[in-house]
Amino acid sequence: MIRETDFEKISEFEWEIPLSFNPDLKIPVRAFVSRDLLEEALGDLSFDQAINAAMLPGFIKNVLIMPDVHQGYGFPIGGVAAADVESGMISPGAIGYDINCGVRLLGSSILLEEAEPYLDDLILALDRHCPSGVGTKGSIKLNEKELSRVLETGAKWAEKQGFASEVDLRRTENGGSLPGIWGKVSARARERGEMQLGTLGAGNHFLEVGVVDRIINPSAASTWGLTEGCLTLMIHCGSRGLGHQVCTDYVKSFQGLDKRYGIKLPDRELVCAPINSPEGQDYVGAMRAAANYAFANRQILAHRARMAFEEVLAGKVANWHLFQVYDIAHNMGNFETHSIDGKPRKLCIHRKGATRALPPNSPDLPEEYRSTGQPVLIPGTMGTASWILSGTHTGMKKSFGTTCHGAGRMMSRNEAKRKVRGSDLIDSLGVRGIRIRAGSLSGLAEEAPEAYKDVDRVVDTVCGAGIASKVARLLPVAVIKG
Amino acid sequence: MLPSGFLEISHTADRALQVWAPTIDGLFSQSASGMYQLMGTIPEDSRQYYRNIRISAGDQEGLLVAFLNELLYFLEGDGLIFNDYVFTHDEEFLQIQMTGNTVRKDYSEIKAVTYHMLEIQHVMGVYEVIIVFDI
Repeated sequence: MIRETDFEKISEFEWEIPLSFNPDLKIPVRAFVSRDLLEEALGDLSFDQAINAAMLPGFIKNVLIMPDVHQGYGFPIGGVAAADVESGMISPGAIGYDINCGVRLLGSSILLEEAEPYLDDLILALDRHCPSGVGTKGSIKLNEKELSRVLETGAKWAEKQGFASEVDLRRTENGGSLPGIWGKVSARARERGEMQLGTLGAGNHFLEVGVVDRIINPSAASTWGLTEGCLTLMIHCGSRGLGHQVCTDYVKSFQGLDKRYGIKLPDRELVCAPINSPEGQDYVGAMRAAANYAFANRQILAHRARMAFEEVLAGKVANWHLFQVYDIAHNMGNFETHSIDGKPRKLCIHRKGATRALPPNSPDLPEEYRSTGQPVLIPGTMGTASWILSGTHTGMKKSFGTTCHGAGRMMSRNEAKRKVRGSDLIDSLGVRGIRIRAGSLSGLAEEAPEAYKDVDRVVDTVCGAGIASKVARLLPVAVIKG
Repeated sequence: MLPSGFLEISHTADRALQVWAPTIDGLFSQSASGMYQLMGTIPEDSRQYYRNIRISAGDQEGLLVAFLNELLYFLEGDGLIFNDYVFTHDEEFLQIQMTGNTVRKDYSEIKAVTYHMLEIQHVMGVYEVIIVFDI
């Protein structure tokens, strides 16, 4: 059992499990947590899982833990590990089943008070245009040829179909398109993807209409178009059944590779292969294809959300348009160049429940964002704030340009359902002016705010550690969940 | 202890089951029943549907994951849940004839079955396993 005394305190917001903790550790585990959040994280198996990951060969420097960490199924959620592209490993389980689960933020010039009379209609329109829930099918049925284009070009496919603008793609991580290889995605995964494009899914996926409550960095907020009192729309979803199937397929096909490549595997879910091996390259191609599907999915949802806003608000508010602020992934294996011991190295950064956060002047940012650094989108819970942060140079040095992804669960779903009734939650949020539309009261209770950590403390921690910087705070106005 | 059954065990964000049965086929059936219970699936009506599957894996744990993931596939694609299984083992494959019903569409999603902590143990005549599901 891991205890606080096993950690070395590096600073108020950085704690480390050193190599001396266990002779099988290849690299230390570095956690960006306050003392309070460390104690909370010690309540489940998060650090045990991080230690398992740090025993794998091929990861460098340290396994990182973000303050919103919680136990996963092999690799902790809120975990980060970097592998050298030439000599390191890639692990599908350290990226996750919902490949490129991520968040998109759209901004507007719509003042909350001018939209207030129409919010009930708006939430109905959003629900109608953006299907959610288990088993839902989208309105776009893809044939094999079109699906292959989605898998190979991502949001660029959406642009060709007229569902995206050049600005949308420019303000998406990786331009919304990676070199995916559709042939590395199984027939079953492709079958699952044919009918689900443009759907939200269920669980903790959501659409949230918010309002900019507070600006902390006026210069960055202005660059990104965020204005106090104006509405925003946040979309949280991923690669749907196609992505889940890709991860399932490759976690299965990687079983046994530990013997072939001489890897001592602490957990079967952490199966891995050398990035440069045929197996590793197959997975990279498939993962990127699934990531492209998610980029296209969020793009379609954004397009349809814009239709909902136009349908309800055109002619009623001065400017009903939604513009793209940014789109980020928080389950991804991204290939990036980082300075390690003063030398540039090409790495595959495994982020599972963690967000890339590029600093100012990064060439991978759109021109208009180079002065500010990358927008980082941190959704809270239904009843709490969300945060918009920016990437920092300190983050590039300390955390492979990575920060947290959300509030982080701390209560099991069963416990949440025992403590909270979905109908009571709707009422209590309604009293605060937050409208909820959910497919299931039971599912809603599972996502109750009390099931999550305090997002303000999580954000204070990453900012205190210097791996992100606050720009704006949003409050929820209306939430749609599957 | 009852001869076969399942129990949900606590997990922060996902779902997990402890399953036990006197036979390996029974363990597979109970795992399926437990997974469906976690999802809250309810048959829509009494009309019966049939599916046959053939799966292979390097070991029993791999077969269990493959079997449960097949059930998730049929749930998502065909809207079917199963309650009766006939298992036929041969050298290379496990064949399963499955009988079931259509499902009411108000269940909770399970994204995938994981290999996390997955180890089938056979102790004092009872097969036992812990299965963690990604939600």
